[in-house]
Amino acid sequence: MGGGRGGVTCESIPDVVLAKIFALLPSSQIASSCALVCKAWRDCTYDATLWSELCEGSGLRGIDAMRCLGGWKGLFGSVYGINLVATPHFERIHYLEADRLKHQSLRPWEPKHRLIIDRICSVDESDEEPHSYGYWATEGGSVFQRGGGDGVLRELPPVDCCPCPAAADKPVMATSWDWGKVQQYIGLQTFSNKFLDLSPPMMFSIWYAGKTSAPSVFKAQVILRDELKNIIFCWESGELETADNTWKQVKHIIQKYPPGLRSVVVKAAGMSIKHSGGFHGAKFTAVKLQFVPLNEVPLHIDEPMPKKFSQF
Amino acid sequence: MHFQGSPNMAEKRVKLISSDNDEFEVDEAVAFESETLRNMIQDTGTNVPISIPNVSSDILAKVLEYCSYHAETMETHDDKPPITDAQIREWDADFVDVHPATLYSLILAANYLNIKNLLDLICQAVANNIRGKTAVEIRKILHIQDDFTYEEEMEIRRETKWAFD
Repeated sequence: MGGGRGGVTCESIPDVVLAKIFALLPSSQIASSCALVCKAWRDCTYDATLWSELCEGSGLRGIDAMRCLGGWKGLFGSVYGINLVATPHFERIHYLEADRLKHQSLRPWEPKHRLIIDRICSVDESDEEPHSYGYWATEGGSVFQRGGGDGVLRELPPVDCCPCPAAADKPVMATSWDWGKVQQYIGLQTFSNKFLDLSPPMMFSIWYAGKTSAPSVFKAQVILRDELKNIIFCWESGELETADNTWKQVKHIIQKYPPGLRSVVVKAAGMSIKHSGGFHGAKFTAVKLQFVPLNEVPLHIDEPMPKKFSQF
Repeated sequence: MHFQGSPNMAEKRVKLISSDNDEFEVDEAVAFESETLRNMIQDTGTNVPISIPNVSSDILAKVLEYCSYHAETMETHDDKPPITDAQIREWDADFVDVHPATLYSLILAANYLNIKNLLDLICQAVANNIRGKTAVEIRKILHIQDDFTYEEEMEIRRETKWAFD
């Protein structure tokens, strides 16, 4: 076997066997690293039946695939491959860009977000833009609803804290002496009701950290709402103590909730438990909410932390 | 004919010939683990040696080792305690702990001989080896040659951007 080509190579794995192997891997890996191995593997990852089987098990239909660029694989990517949270690192949006976004219509399976005037301050004052927008709203606080306590503050790089290993060059949100809360609305109008009414599992994750020598707490909340904006399900992380100058990730699978999901509100908040002024509260960033195929739910539970992150 | 290892004297024996012309003789029950051999035996009987032109003797020996063990686990003996599932899993794990080149040959043999359990076992082993690995790591593990141009690689990355974030 191998035909004198210096050993057996990948071409010799029959497609049916390769498909069996792929079926045991997370779909995102099939589409990424497996596709890049060699041409024979790539062609196998483009196989439409592979993706139609993955899709059809979760209420996605042929008609949905036809509306999507890239067929079944494109549909799978549109539904399961995207972070439903816009600007997961609290990036601000320039007013010209905001203008363009306001007039852009949504593609199928594209989540809708509320574009609002950005009320979040920045640690670097020169970064302040009078007319910038964002997808994150702040709740409460003393100065123009800039969040509880002294408000919330966008930091890049984080002050008195190492960078978040999942997003080293991205902004983080810093909080102060009372719960500094931010929230984002995510509308699922462009998703098919048939899909949503099967209560597809979602994975929520966020990274949080404490400032050096400043004990603080963090909490996150994901609220699922129906068509009438009634809450059908709510998940709360509870109050989590941060670790000094160390980033931790909270990760949760939201599943088996009542049918009728039409929108989600994601909330995150932090506060200091020692200081009474300044931004000594918990910091957080890299917010992620995404649909997870039913068969991949076990892969997300109790996943060991990647080794390269344990250094921090 | 020798009946070594077979408690049942009436058991039929089957002769198999590998690609490099080595002859193997096994119990019919062992050969029946393979769907392909089962069909052949049912067509031609056990009198004629069956030649397996695309499996070499070292791989065939390995495959038959698997089949013998699994045929044995099906049997019940009054004098021996039954083999537990945990023992079988452990044996299977040792069995697939081999060089990638051997694993490849085993895939082809298991696929050709249509031994479903063995094929499933090897696919699981390969999947476990490459889960969470990058393309470069997978190529290294499985000794696969990179045959992409830079443009082709970029094309994949662009088309499936969602999977790379």
